[in-house]
Amino acid sequence: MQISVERHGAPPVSGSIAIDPSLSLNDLVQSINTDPVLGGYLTASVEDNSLKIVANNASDTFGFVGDNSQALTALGVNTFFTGDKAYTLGVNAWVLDNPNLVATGQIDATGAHSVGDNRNALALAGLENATAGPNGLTFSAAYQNLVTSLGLDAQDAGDQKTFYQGLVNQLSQMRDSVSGVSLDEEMTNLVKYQRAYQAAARLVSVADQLYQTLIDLGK
Amino acid sequence: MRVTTPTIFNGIQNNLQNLAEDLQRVNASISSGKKYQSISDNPLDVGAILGLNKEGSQTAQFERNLETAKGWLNVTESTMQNITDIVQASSALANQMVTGTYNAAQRQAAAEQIQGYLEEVMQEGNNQYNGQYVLAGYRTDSPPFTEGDWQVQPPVMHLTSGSSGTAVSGGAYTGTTSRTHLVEMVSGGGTGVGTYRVSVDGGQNWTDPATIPAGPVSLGDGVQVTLGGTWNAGDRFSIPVYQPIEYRGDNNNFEIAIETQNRMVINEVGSAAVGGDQGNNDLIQILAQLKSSLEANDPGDVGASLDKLRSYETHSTSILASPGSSLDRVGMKENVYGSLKDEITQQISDRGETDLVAAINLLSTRENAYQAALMSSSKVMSMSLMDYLGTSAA
Repeated sequence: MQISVERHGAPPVSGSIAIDPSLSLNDLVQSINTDPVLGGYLTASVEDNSLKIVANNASDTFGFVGDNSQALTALGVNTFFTGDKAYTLGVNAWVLDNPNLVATGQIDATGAHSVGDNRNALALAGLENATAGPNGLTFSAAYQNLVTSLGLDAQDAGDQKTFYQGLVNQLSQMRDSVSGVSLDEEMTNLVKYQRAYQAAARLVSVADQLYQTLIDLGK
Repeated sequence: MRVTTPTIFNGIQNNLQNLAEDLQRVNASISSGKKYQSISDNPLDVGAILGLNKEGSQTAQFERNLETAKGWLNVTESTMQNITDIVQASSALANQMVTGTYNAAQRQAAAEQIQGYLEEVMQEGNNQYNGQYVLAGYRTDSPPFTEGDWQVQPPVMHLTSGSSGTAVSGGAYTGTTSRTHLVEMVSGGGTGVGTYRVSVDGGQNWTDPATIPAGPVSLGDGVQVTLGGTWNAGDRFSIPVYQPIEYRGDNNNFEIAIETQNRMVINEVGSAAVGGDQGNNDLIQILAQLKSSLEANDPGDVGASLDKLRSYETHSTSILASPGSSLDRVGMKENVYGSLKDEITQQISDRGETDLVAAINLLSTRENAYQAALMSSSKVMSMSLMDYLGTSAA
């Protein structure tokens, strides 16, 4: 990793900080503070378990370049994004609250970092149309694919639901047609049996009359 | 088939449910203005709308970029145009002064005029758009052209043939105005033999002749020159003192995206377009030299500067062509994006927005269907054998 410091009107100076996996945060602070070039310009410290680097001269600006070790990303220094999982991914709150902090430029070999430099911004904007991932799709195309296939799945599920609902209705109807109760049918039966009962009663009544007549004959 | 009472009632329930769903869907599409309420309503159209929305927002961004590009290019173009005008005025003045009919006092006055032009060039070079210095490369936050400290320039030698005189200028200037020291050899010879005289007003007034000393000669206000070699009478040289205008920008071209795969350079680098790179077409250097040769009352050098000014004019015309053609491209792109945006808006509306006339027709159809269903259902529901059995069965 290189740190490049620019003092207004003077050519930028830069120093290399070697990072290896065994370094502790304190070692990193130490190596920044004791760097023969950077030591005079910057003061690093550990604050709230985070790396803090301050320019000794308030008007100096400094930037990072060529961080092959990814140490800065791991420490969350100068990054666009925060989080380490898909569901914790977010835009760095500092950048979100203050768009002036968007790293729009790239530090080149000269170490200069000018305010008008928009190379990083162009590269970031270029991602919109850059292909990524195994299918060689752009981010928006991949999202579009995801949405469309999700929608197709949902549509498919909806169609299946309609189909099975129809099937259930059909089977229920068939079952009901066998075992269900039709009020009209029951009513008809009721009337039928009532009539039969009435008829039977009538028969009894007639027989009764007949017997009555017979009995009356014998008086 | 045997139709049972639950079958009838379930059927009524299902049908009414379906109709109510239809009604709700049409109603939502009218009240939200969106044809589809969820992706599954029409995944292909919704996907296409997503793509169109992306394209639309990109197009809008490119249009904003073109706006910015236009601003930068316009400022750059008018800056270069104004500088070209200044160069033409300087050429005209130099062209006058190169003729022998003008005297030292007139050339002094012309030198002051050139100083004025030089300052104007610097001001033009520091033109801003939206608070950003357009000729500064990426260093848009600070003026690219600034006056440096006073500098004693190297001598401009005019030796007669056979002279081996050398002069090395030095010292720190303590004065406050730019001027040119003219030194002329009155009699030939080396150190301790030859004599020289000095003028700071282009040869109108001279100092008394003095012998060439071994060490540095003080020319006043801290300016020094060390003379060496053997001089001839009539050898002349001049030592200009001025605050050189320095270029503090960088050499980066400022690019802006105008298409998905295409960027446009919207600036000119000040050091190449105006000066500060010490090259052949460094206008600032050319004007400074012109001014010094006018101060030194040297028509020959004025002529040389005039040639350089003419060469710069050609150079500036070619530089001017680049923002001009870029502006043409911006205009073309604006037209393209204007119609593309209309097309995208149209497509999004065709695919995704509710066609109100059709939707309201559909709503009234659904409403009628629902009402008809309610009516027939209530008829069917109210029908019962019991209504007719009442008295006869009792």
